[in-house]
Amino acid sequence: MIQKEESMGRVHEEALAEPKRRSLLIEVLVRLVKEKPLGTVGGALVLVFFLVGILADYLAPYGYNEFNARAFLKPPSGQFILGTDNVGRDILSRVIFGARISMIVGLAGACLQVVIAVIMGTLSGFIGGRFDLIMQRVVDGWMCFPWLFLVLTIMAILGPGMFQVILVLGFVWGIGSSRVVRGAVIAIKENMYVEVAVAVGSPTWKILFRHILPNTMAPIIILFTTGVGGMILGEASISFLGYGIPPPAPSWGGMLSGVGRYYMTLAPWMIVWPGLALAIVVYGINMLGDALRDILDPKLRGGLGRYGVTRGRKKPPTDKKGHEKPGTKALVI
Amino acid sequence: MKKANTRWSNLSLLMALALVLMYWTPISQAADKQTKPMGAKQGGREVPKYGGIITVVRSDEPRDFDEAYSNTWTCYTLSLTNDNLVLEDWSKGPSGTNEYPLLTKSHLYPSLTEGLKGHLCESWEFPDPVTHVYHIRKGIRFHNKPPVNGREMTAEDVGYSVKRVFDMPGGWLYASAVKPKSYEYPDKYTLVLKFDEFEAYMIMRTAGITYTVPREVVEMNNGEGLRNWRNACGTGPFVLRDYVPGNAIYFERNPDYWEKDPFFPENQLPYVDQLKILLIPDLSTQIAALRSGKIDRLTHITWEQRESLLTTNRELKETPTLGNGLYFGMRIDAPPFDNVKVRRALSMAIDRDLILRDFYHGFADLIAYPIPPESGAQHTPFEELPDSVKEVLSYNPEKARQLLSEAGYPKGFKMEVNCLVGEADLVALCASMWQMIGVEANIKVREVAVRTSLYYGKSYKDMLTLTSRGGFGEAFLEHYETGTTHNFSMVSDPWYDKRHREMMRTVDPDARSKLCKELNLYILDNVYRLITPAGHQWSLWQPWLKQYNGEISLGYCHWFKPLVYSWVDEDLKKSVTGKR
Repeated sequence: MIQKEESMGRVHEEALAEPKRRSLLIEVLVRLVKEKPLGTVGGALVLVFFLVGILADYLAPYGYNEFNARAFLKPPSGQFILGTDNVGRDILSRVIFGARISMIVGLAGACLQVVIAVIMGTLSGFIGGRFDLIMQRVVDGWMCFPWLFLVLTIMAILGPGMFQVILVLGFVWGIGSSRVVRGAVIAIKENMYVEVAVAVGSPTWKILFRHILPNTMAPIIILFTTGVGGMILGEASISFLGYGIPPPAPSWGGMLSGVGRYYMTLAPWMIVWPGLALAIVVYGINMLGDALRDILDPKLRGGLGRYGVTRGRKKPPTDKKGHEKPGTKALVI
Repeated sequence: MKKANTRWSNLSLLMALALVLMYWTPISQAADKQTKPMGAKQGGREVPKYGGIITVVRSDEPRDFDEAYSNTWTCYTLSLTNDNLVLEDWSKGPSGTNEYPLLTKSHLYPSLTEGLKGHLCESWEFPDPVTHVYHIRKGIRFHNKPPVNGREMTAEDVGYSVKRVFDMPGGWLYASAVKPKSYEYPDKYTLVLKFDEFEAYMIMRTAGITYTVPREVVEMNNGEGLRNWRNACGTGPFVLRDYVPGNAIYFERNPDYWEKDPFFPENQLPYVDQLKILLIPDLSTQIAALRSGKIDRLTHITWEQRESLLTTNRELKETPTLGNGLYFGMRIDAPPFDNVKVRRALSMAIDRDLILRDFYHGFADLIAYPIPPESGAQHTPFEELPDSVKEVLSYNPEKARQLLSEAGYPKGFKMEVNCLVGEADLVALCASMWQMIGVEANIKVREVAVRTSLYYGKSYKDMLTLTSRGGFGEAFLEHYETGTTHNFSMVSDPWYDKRHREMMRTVDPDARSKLCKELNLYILDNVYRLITPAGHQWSLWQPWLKQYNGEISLGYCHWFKPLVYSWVDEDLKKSVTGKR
């Protein structure tokens, strides 16, 4: 009897004991691999994309602007795996270097977007009142304009170039994205610990950096990952229209436009490979972003295996002998 | 049985009724069909039909509507709304006797008047080299719109129009060394221009390029009346009805136009009711528009576009035209380009054979600027060039590096090249060739308006590209004379200026051609511009555009003038596209 009570107590303790906490990053990665196979594939594609961009100088068989005499408009072959363009440049090399451009624009643009969104959203959400009212009306007005119209107008003034593209896309989307951060900040601001921090006289910057921002990391991360894909596609779009990164830079969008279209019927490989690369990378980023959102979304967090909770379909946790751990069935959803 | 009989009776009645109705069909319709069958011919030519719309395309907006404030080739609506004293004779072109190709933007033959016909003037005389006498046609009227209200055009209108183009500060002829010194009107229809000295290009400038405009319109709005498209007025075949920037320009037929079809003298021109110029900057979109039948012609199509178009649209008609090449102007007034060794080095670093063979797939002319092969005796083929000029146009990167070193740039230098987006690939190819001799080119892709501003304002840094083709020396060698509009390389060579003036003063055409040849070789040797091969081009047009055979211009940049003689076979258009 006493043994039974003791064992039940131990089981109860085990059931109630919090599992060992891993770091957020590892937990996210583990859950990504376990529960989101499509997101994992997307993540792998993104990783490959980043590595290609970083190691472009070593991976590309030729320079991005290196012409090859007597090899103009050649179809894919052993020497030029993806073919050559109208001035004898290797398409594979240009696609690889294009990954670098897309990576730089994607990351830098998303960073700028997030920074602007965080600054505007945090201040607006935390300060509130008239400041928030005015700020949000400005954001409302900004969001009324189609993004492409804004981008093209500003690019026409600034002129083409990578820096200009990053600046313009970052600002245009950052302002609109501030709404997301503002919503998260408003929700967190209502928590007791924030009120306590205010009550004890903690300075505003401390409250923001120690209490508010850490708890908005989830939506910020989601904003960032989705922003990368959007930036890449946005840069490709405006380069396609001729306002982005000008030739001879191997921007994927620029390769789809211009002479790519002229030679579409004669040399379709000039547009097929950059188009495919763009589609695959953006798809991967979107899948990864979707998966991360599912994992990190606070509303879904409690129902997806955190703190030892499993889904209804899965078996409850078992001990070493394969017996179900008593007392854990109640935690199965 | 009764039912069957009734049925047959009804059927018979219906047949009888049908016969009666056929009998009562108006005879004129049947007669029209008999007298004007589709594709009726007269003297071997299809009989033109009135009506329809011609739709063409242009990639740039008109820069102005008054050439006195700009220049002829950017005020291109004037070629439809206004007329000149003389024009190239369309009837001697591909649609007529085929004596002249009418494929260049700048007609001129050393005889100065060969191939020309009187347009606003019915005849001309040159009693001496410095006197031009033009006999204006009677009965030509301006457009019937206020404030002109269709009044008759006279010699004074022509003289006024010529004078203002030469006298307008900032206009492209303002800086001309030679201008008419007097304008005389012995009678209402005679204009006499007198000059201080003979100048070879003056006939084309005064009679072939300058459009006649009404004084009343010009003087509106403090002399800028004609700059407003709503006031556009002339004696031309079309009236400008609407201009939507970035979209299209709409013209309507001038019902009072004076000219007749030279092959059908009873037919007043133009044949079409409307002419539309779509403003489409993007070449791919232009090609798509031709492919889908939205536009009726497209000129200056390159070989790869031609192949692609003819694969999908076999019904298109085509003719080869004279293609343009890419040229680099350099700031010769500043280092490093003020050193001829640097310029020669840059030229020797360009592998023109590779460009001709691989970039243009053999469809190109090696030397088409400033004096191209069609200029006859003024042109020098590569084989006949002096050794010094041959060297400059030959690929020799080692010699190029040596020259750079001698010029004080052993490690090369950096430069900026301004170009249009459509030129970027060829510029990148040249840049990679320059890189081999240590010259790093930073390519700046500019929008058309910006590039035009850099060109005319001469405000660019280092290098600026131009896609063009040369022509006769009388027209193109002026581009290297100090201070002229097209001298965007900022050439200032006193010897050249003197020799060029001498050439333009030479009355004898053969002697003048020899001087042209000499100056051309001098320009090439000094590399005042970097030239690359000029790719061949084609004109393609729809089969329903009749009495058109690829003519580009009827004089200096009169791009749309050949269309005045064209007509649209609407039945054919409907059968091909399903709509008129």
